Amino acid sequence: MLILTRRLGESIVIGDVIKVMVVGVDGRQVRLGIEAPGQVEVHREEVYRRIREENLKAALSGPEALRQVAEIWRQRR
Amino acid sequence: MKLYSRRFGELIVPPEKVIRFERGIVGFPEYRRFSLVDVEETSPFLWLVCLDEPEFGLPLLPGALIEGYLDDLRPYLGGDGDWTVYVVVTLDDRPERATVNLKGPILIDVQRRVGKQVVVDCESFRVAHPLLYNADTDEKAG
Repeated sequence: MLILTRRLGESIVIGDVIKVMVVGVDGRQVRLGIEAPGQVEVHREEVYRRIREENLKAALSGPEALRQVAEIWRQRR
Repeated sequence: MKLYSRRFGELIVPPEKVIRFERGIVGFPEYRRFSLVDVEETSPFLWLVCLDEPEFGLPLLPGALIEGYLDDLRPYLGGDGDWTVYVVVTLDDRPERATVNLKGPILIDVQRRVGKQVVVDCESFRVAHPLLYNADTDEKAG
């Protein structure tokens, strides 16, 4: 991993089109400003991982389990 | 196109029912072609079946059926399409523990036949939101 030291207000550029700027530092928290083209998705890593895990869990669901849930759902409406 | 999966049996998907996910879905960028499969006995739930890997399917629920969700979500969606919102359902061995993913909805533009999964940057949307029961009140009540 490339490690760079930056001060408040300084940036790094990745390729020609992505820029990451340190816009705030408060104790252990760092605020980053990110400029990237629309087709580049930027996510907090832990949130992205969590959704990936949830997709994987959801993909293991079987039709029978869904049928049971659908039945309860309809009864409650 | 015709495909077979253990879960859904034989599926026949006409070309106009193929939905392209240019970036796949979160964690599965290689899965690009999907179709919505409607099974009458599980209505209003349906399946988003991957045509590149027919064993991969996600149960969905229209977001409109979750009270207040679309209104809360609207500020986070760009105006780049006529999107129908679905949430992914995660099933448990016990049906009452089923959850929906409010943080990573699936958006489908039926006219353009494109779809995407977005990550919503809002703290109050949970990845595993209880579907059938409100965990805070119902479980305490027994």
